[in-house]
Amino acid sequence: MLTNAQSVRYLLIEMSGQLLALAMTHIASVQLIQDNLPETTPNHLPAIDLAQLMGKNAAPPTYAMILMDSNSLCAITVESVRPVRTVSFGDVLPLPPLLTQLPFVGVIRQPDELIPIIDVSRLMVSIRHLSPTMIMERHHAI
Amino acid sequence: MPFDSAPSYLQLLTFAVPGLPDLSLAVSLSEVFESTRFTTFTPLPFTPPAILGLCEWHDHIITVIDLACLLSGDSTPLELASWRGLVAQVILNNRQLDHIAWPILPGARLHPAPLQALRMDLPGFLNPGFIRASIQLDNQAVILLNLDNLAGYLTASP
Repeated sequence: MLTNAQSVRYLLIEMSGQLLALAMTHIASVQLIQDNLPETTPNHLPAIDLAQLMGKNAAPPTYAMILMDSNSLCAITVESVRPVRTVSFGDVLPLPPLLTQLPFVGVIRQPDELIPIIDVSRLMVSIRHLSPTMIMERHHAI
Repeated sequence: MPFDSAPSYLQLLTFAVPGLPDLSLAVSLSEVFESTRFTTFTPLPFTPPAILGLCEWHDHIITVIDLACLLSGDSTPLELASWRGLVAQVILNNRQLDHIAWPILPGARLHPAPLQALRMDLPGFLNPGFIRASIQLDNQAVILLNLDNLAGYLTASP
């Protein structure tokens, strides 16, 4: 059995059939998107649709999550989430040098698949530079 | 004892790729690490069309490229459940080495090419940024590739 010292936990998200991973240390909350949420609340974050940000034609998002990095927060919406996966350090491999400028910190190696790990720090920087048209119209109470 | 004379031939590996089946491409054999079969590749968001994604090679994650798209700008949908590819070494801007792979079609061959091989005109639809030369080998035009500009392609693409 993997111990905490030997493993990392990731939340898997799915977009257009592809899996991506987010380190659990960067996730503040995950919520199912519900239509009856109030339009605005005093403490809301505008949520960015991750599939739209990545240029993917995904199904409408069903989950919203708050990501945190240092003292910053941002909110994203995703098509779907999968169960948290515990991964040994040895199965987290670095990106090739050619691609290190991309917002990914590495790749999870699994028996039948590779799962890119999103770099939350760089993702948040990208989100801050987005035009307001990329921000979802609904402000979900997160 | 006399010194050995410098080689007057370059060993080239010629091949064709999906999307440009009628074009003979080549790389120097010294740049090729392996010709091997891969099971699949994993797409990676935020990459330009010529970057197909990632695959695992000897416990390393390497970049898989679509050479036809890189050279011609046209993306060919590739449904590759299993594919044979070449793994080659490239030199990045900061002199760091990296490995890349790309799918090839059957029929790759070794050719000794004279260093002073006859140069030919480049086809107009090809991106010259990834080409060292177009040379004549066995009465056909062969495009000798230069993939060291890949890093520039990645940083220039939106």
